[in-house]
Amino acid sequence: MNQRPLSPHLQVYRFGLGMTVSILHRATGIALSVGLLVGVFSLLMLSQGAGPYAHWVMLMNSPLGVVVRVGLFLSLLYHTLSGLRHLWLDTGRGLERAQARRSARWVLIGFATLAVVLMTVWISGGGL
Amino acid sequence: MSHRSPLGRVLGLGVHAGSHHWLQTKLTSIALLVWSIWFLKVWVSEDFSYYAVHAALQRPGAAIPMALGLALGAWHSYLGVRVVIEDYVHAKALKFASLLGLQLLHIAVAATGLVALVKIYVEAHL
Repeated sequence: MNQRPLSPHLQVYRFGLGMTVSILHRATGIALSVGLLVGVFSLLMLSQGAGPYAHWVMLMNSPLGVVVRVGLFLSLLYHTLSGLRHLWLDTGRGLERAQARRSARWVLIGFATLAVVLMTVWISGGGL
Repeated sequence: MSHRSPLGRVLGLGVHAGSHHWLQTKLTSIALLVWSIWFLKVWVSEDFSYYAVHAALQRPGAAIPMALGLALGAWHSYLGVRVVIEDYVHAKALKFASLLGLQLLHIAVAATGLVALVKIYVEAHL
Protein backbone atom coordinates (compact mmCIF):
# COMPACT_ATOMS: atom_id res chain seq x y z
CA MET A 1 0.00 0.00 0.00
CA ASN A 2 2.83 2.37 0.87
CA GLN A 3 4.53 1.68 -2.48
CA ARG A 4 1.75 3.30 -4.45
CA PRO A 5 2.85 6.28 -6.53
CA LEU A 6 1.75 9.62 -5.17
CA SER A 7 -0.12 12.06 -7.34
CA PRO A 8 1.96 15.03 -8.51
CA HIS A 9 2.53 17.28 -5.55
CA LEU A 10 4.29 20.48 -4.56
CA GLN A 11 7.74 19.61 -5.92
CA VAL A 12 6.66 19.21 -9.54
CA TYR A 13 5.17 22.69 -9.85
CA ARG A 14 7.09 25.60 -11.25
CA PHE A 15 6.77 28.61 -9.00
CA GLY A 16 4.16 30.73 -10.72
CA LEU A 17 2.20 33.94 -10.29
CA GLY A 18 -1.13 32.34 -9.36
CA MET A 19 0.63 30.14 -6.84
CA THR A 20 2.46 33.10 -5.29
CA VAL A 21 -0.68 35.21 -4.73
CA SER A 22 -2.53 32.17 -3.37
CA ILE A 23 0.22 31.27 -0.89
CA LEU A 24 0.47 34.90 0.20
CA HIS A 25 -3.31 35.02 0.71
CA ARG A 26 -3.16 32.06 3.06
CA ALA A 27 0.00 33.23 4.84
CA THR A 28 -1.38 36.73 5.46
CA GLY A 29 -4.67 35.17 6.60
CA ILE A 30 -2.85 33.13 9.23
CA ALA A 31 -0.85 36.21 10.23
CA LEU A 32 -4.14 38.11 10.70
CA SER A 33 -5.49 35.30 12.91
CA VAL A 34 -2.45 35.89 15.12
CA GLY A 35 -3.20 39.61 14.77
CA LEU A 36 -6.64 38.97 16.23
CA LEU A 37 -4.90 37.69 19.36
CA VAL A 38 -2.67 40.79 19.43
CA GLY A 39 -5.72 43.04 19.02
CA VAL A 40 -7.74 41.33 21.73
CA PHE A 41 -4.74 41.41 24.07
CA SER A 42 -4.47 45.17 23.43
CA LEU A 43 -8.13 45.59 24.42
CA LEU A 44 -7.56 43.45 27.49
CA MET A 45 -4.60 45.61 28.57
CA LEU A 46 -6.64 48.76 27.88
CA SER A 47 -9.42 47.46 30.13
CA GLN A 48 -6.89 46.81 32.93
CA GLY A 49 -5.96 50.46 33.32
CA ALA A 50 -3.32 53.02 32.32
CA GLY A 51 -0.36 51.12 33.84
CA PRO A 52 -0.74 47.76 32.09
CA TYR A 53 -1.68 49.54 28.85
CA ALA A 54 1.44 51.76 28.99
CA HIS A 55 3.64 48.66 29.33
CA TRP A 56 1.92 47.08 26.33
CA VAL A 57 2.33 50.26 24.23
CA MET A 58 6.01 50.37 25.18
CA LEU A 59 6.41 46.78 23.99
CA MET A 60 4.59 47.57 20.73
CA ASN A 61 6.95 50.53 20.19
CA SER A 62 10.05 48.34 20.58
CA PRO A 63 11.76 47.14 17.36
CA LEU A 64 9.93 43.78 17.63
CA GLY A 65 6.62 45.57 18.21
CA VAL A 66 7.15 47.76 15.15
CA VAL A 67 7.86 44.66 13.03
CA VAL A 68 4.63 43.07 14.32
CA ARG A 69 2.55 46.20 13.67
CA VAL A 70 3.95 46.80 10.18
CA GLY A 71 3.60 43.09 9.38
CA LEU A 72 -0.05 43.03 10.44
CA PHE A 73 -0.80 46.27 8.62
CA LEU A 74 0.66 44.96 5.35
CA SER A 75 -1.02 41.58 5.89
CA LEU A 76 -4.42 43.25 6.25
CA LEU A 77 -3.80 45.31 3.12
CA TYR A 78 -2.67 42.32 1.05
CA HIS A 79 -5.38 39.96 2.33
CA THR A 80 -8.05 42.58 1.56
CA LEU A 81 -6.90 43.10 -2.04
CA SER A 82 -6.35 39.41 -2.67
CA GLY A 83 -9.71 38.70 -1.03
CA LEU A 84 -11.39 41.06 -3.51
CA ARG A 85 -9.85 38.97 -6.30
CA HIS A 86 -11.23 35.80 -4.73
CA LEU A 87 -14.72 37.32 -4.44
CA TRP A 88 -14.49 38.12 -8.15
CA LEU A 89 -13.21 34.63 -9.09
CA ASP A 90 -15.98 33.04 -6.98
CA THR A 91 -18.59 34.56 -9.27
CA GLY A 92 -17.18 32.24 -11.95
CA ARG A 93 -15.55 35.06 -13.88
CA GLY A 94 -11.90 35.67 -14.74
CA LEU A 95 -10.97 32.00 -14.53
CA GLU A 96 -9.18 31.74 -17.89
CA ARG A 97 -5.41 31.38 -17.47
CA ALA A 98 -4.55 34.77 -18.94
CA GLN A 99 -7.31 36.54 -17.00
CA ALA A 100 -6.35 34.92 -13.71
CA ARG A 101 -2.71 35.89 -14.23
CA ARG A 102 -3.73 39.45 -15.05
CA SER A 103 -5.83 39.80 -11.88
CA ALA A 104 -3.02 38.24 -9.83
CA ARG A 105 -0.62 40.84 -11.22
CA TRP A 106 -3.10 43.63 -10.37
CA VAL A 107 -3.28 42.39 -6.79
CA LEU A 108 0.50 42.64 -6.47
CA ILE A 109 0.68 46.05 -8.19
CA GLY A 110 -2.21 47.40 -6.10
CA PHE A 111 -0.63 46.06 -2.93
CA ALA A 112 2.79 47.59 -3.68
CA THR A 113 1.27 50.97 -4.56
CA LEU A 114 -1.10 51.17 -1.59
CA ALA A 115 1.60 49.85 0.75
CA VAL A 116 3.91 52.73 -0.22
CA VAL A 117 1.12 55.34 0.01
CA LEU A 118 -0.33 54.13 3.32
CA MET A 119 3.06 53.54 4.93
CA THR A 120 4.02 57.10 3.94
CA VAL A 121 0.81 58.46 5.52
CA TRP A 122 1.42 56.32 8.60
CA ILE A 123 5.06 57.38 9.05
CA SER A 124 4.46 61.06 8.27
CA GLY A 125 1.52 61.06 10.69
CA GLY A 126 3.99 60.05 13.40
CA GLY A 127 2.05 56.88 14.15
CA LEU A 128 5.03 54.57 13.70
CA MET B 1 -11.36 -8.92 -1.85
CA SER B 2 -14.28 -6.62 -2.31
CA HIS B 3 -16.94 -7.29 -4.88
CA ARG B 4 -17.85 -3.64 -5.12
CA SER B 5 -17.02 -1.80 -8.31
CA PRO B 6 -14.40 1.00 -8.22
CA LEU B 7 -17.22 3.51 -8.71
CA GLY B 8 -19.26 1.96 -5.88
CA ARG B 9 -16.33 2.30 -3.52
CA VAL B 10 -15.88 6.02 -4.08
CA LEU B 11 -19.50 7.12 -4.34
CA GLY B 12 -20.50 9.11 -1.28
CA LEU B 13 -16.91 9.81 -0.22
CA GLY B 14 -17.00 13.41 -1.34
CA VAL B 15 -18.11 16.52 0.45
CA HIS B 16 -21.37 16.07 2.37
CA ALA B 17 -21.58 19.37 4.13
CA GLY B 18 -19.73 22.61 4.46
CA SER B 19 -20.86 24.79 1.57
CA HIS B 20 -22.43 27.08 4.19
CA HIS B 21 -18.87 27.67 5.51
CA TRP B 22 -17.87 28.97 2.11
CA LEU B 23 -20.87 31.31 2.04
CA GLN B 24 -20.17 32.53 5.59
CA THR B 25 -16.55 33.22 4.65
CA LYS B 26 -17.70 35.34 1.70
CA LEU B 27 -20.35 37.24 3.68
CA THR B 28 -18.00 38.00 6.59
CA SER B 29 -15.30 39.04 4.10
CA ILE B 30 -17.62 41.64 2.53
CA ALA B 31 -18.56 42.95 5.98
CA LEU B 32 -14.89 43.03 7.02
CA LEU B 33 -14.03 44.88 3.81
CA VAL B 34 -16.27 47.76 4.88
CA TRP B 35 -14.95 47.51 8.42
CA SER B 36 -11.29 47.54 7.26
CA ILE B 37 -11.74 50.90 5.57
CA TRP B 38 -12.86 52.37 8.91
CA PHE B 39 -10.12 50.52 10.79
CA LEU B 40 -7.26 51.44 8.43
CA LYS B 41 -8.16 55.10 8.92
CA VAL B 42 -8.16 54.65 12.69
CA TRP B 43 -4.90 52.68 12.64
CA VAL B 44 -3.00 55.19 10.53
CA SER B 45 -4.23 58.44 12.09
CA GLU B 46 -5.26 57.99 15.70
CA ASP B 47 -3.53 58.81 18.95
CA PHE B 48 -2.77 55.59 20.83
CA SER B 49 -2.27 57.04 24.31
CA TYR B 50 -4.32 55.39 27.08
CA TYR B 51 -6.68 58.33 27.58
CA ALA B 52 -7.30 58.85 23.87
CA VAL B 53 -8.14 55.20 23.10
CA HIS B 54 -10.04 54.69 26.36
CA ALA B 55 -12.13 57.82 25.75
CA ALA B 56 -12.72 56.89 22.08
CA LEU B 57 -14.04 53.44 23.01
CA GLN B 58 -16.54 55.02 25.41
CA ARG B 59 -18.38 56.47 22.45
CA PRO B 60 -20.88 54.07 20.82
CA GLY B 61 -19.60 55.27 17.42
CA ALA B 62 -16.27 53.56 18.10
CA ALA B 63 -17.28 50.84 20.57
CA ILE B 64 -19.92 49.31 18.27
CA PRO B 65 -17.69 49.07 15.17
CA MET B 66 -14.93 47.58 17.36
CA ALA B 67 -17.28 44.93 18.78
CA LEU B 68 -18.64 44.13 15.31
CA GLY B 69 -15.13 43.94 13.82
CA LEU B 70 -14.06 41.65 16.64
CA ALA B 71 -17.00 39.28 16.15
CA LEU B 72 -16.72 39.27 12.36
CA GLY B 73 -12.92 38.93 12.52
CA ALA B 74 -13.12 35.98 14.90
CA TRP B 75 -15.75 34.30 12.75
CA HIS B 76 -13.80 34.82 9.52
CA SER B 77 -10.54 33.77 11.19
CA TYR B 78 -12.12 30.56 12.49
CA LEU B 79 -13.45 29.63 9.05
CA GLY B 80 -10.15 30.50 7.35
CA VAL B 81 -7.84 28.55 9.66
CA ARG B 82 -10.39 25.72 9.58
CA VAL B 83 -9.78 25.36 5.83
CA VAL B 84 -6.02 25.20 6.43
CA ILE B 85 -6.49 22.42 9.02
CA GLU B 86 -8.86 20.55 6.70
CA ASP B 87 -6.23 20.79 3.95
CA TYR B 88 -3.28 19.49 5.95
CA VAL B 89 -4.54 17.44 8.90
CA HIS B 90 -5.97 14.13 7.75
CA ALA B 91 -5.72 11.79 10.75
CA LYS B 92 -9.30 11.57 12.02
CA ALA B 93 -8.70 12.05 15.76
CA LEU B 94 -6.12 14.81 15.30
CA LYS B 95 -8.36 16.60 12.82
CA PHE B 96 -11.32 16.46 15.21
CA ALA B 97 -9.17 17.69 18.12
CA SER B 98 -7.61 20.55 16.09
CA LEU B 99 -10.97 21.75 14.79
CA LEU B 100 -12.51 21.61 18.26
CA GLY B 101 -9.49 23.41 19.75
CA LEU B 102 -9.68 26.04 17.01
CA GLN B 103 -13.35 26.63 17.71
CA LEU B 104 -12.86 26.91 21.49
CA LEU B 105 -9.88 29.25 21.01
CA HIS B 106 -11.89 31.58 18.79
CA ILE B 107 -14.84 31.61 21.18
CA ALA B 108 -12.47 32.41 24.07
CA VAL B 109 -10.71 35.17 22.11
CA ALA B 110 -13.95 36.80 20.97
CA ALA B 111 -15.46 36.58 24.47
CA THR B 112 -12.32 38.09 26.06
CA GLY B 113 -12.34 41.01 23.63
CA LEU B 114 -16.04 41.68 24.04
CA VAL B 115 -15.84 41.59 27.84
CA ALA B 116 -12.90 44.04 27.71
CA LEU B 117 -14.90 46.37 25.44
CA VAL B 118 -17.97 46.18 27.72
CA LYS B 119 -15.80 46.89 30.78
CA ILE B 120 -14.27 49.97 29.14
CA TYR B 121 -17.68 51.18 27.98
CA VAL B 122 -19.48 50.61 31.27
CA GLU B 123 -16.79 52.30 33.39
CA ALA B 124 -17.59 55.66 31.83
CA HIS B 125 -21.35 55.29 31.99
CA LEU B 126 -21.82 54.23 35.60
